[in-house]
Amino acid sequence: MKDFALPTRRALCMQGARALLGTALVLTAGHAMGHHGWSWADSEQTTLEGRIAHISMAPPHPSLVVTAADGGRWKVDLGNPAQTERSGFNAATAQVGDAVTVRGNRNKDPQQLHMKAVRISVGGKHYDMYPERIRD
Amino acid sequence: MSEVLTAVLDAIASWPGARWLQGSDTAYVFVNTAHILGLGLLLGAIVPLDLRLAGLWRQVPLPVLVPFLTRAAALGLALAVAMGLWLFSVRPHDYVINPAFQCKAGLLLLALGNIVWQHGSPALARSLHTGTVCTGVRLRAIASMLLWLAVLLAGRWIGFL
Repeated sequence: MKDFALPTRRALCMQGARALLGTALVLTAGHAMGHHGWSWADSEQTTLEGRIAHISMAPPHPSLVVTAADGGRWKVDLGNPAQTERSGFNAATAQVGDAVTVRGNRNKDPQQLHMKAVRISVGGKHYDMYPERIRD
Repeated sequence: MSEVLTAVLDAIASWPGARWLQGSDTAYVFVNTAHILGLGLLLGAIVPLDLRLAGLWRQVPLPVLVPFLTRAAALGLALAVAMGLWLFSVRPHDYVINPAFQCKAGLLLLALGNIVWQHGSPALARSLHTGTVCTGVRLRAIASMLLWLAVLLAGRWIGFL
């Protein structure tokens, strides 16, 4: 029993150590800091024009997938559920295929097609997620 | 993503419980709170238990502490896992590709395996009788604490990727 237990224990310890190291590497890499806060996003605001490919109103964060003119598929984080609702945007506001203009801050990593919207515009109407942050 | 995986995730995202949370921010907050309560119970019980087994507070009797904290941790684990799976079902497509979630799932399996090992081995029961904790139990206790803290960290990281 003991002869059997020893290598197994060592193997599991190694496995655990490797998993912890893996976590540490992934967590410190942090190149894709997501929807919480703004530190992951560029301080300059940009405008993205495209068509809505997918709408998700599910908590914790409503989001859109927007196909740009060049074919790039962008993930667009909206406000939190309450902010999004206050902006006037809801599940019935837009449909897949609608043209959309997104004003917001894109991910600092230029490889990531990912931005956080301060305002989206659909059908000539503005929906302001973060009214105090909108800069033209 | 393979078509089979997508179909499975679609099915997960469309069970009535997921549909309910997708449409109700208030319900989501309650389930999220229950998940955190589960984490609190689990970590709040398992950290002192593991530290005791690792060698701290030797004056506290093991036959009292171990069954009590084990049950509290098990209750917390059951709550955290049930609520966690429910929260996962709200946006499963996003979570499966989230590196922090993938890490968390792997660490969770290791932590659960460690529980099976610790409680399946006769060494823990022997420690309760003799009052002396053998090295294996001690190492598994330290591994348990580190693994659960890593699960906690990876879980909190999901929203930041």
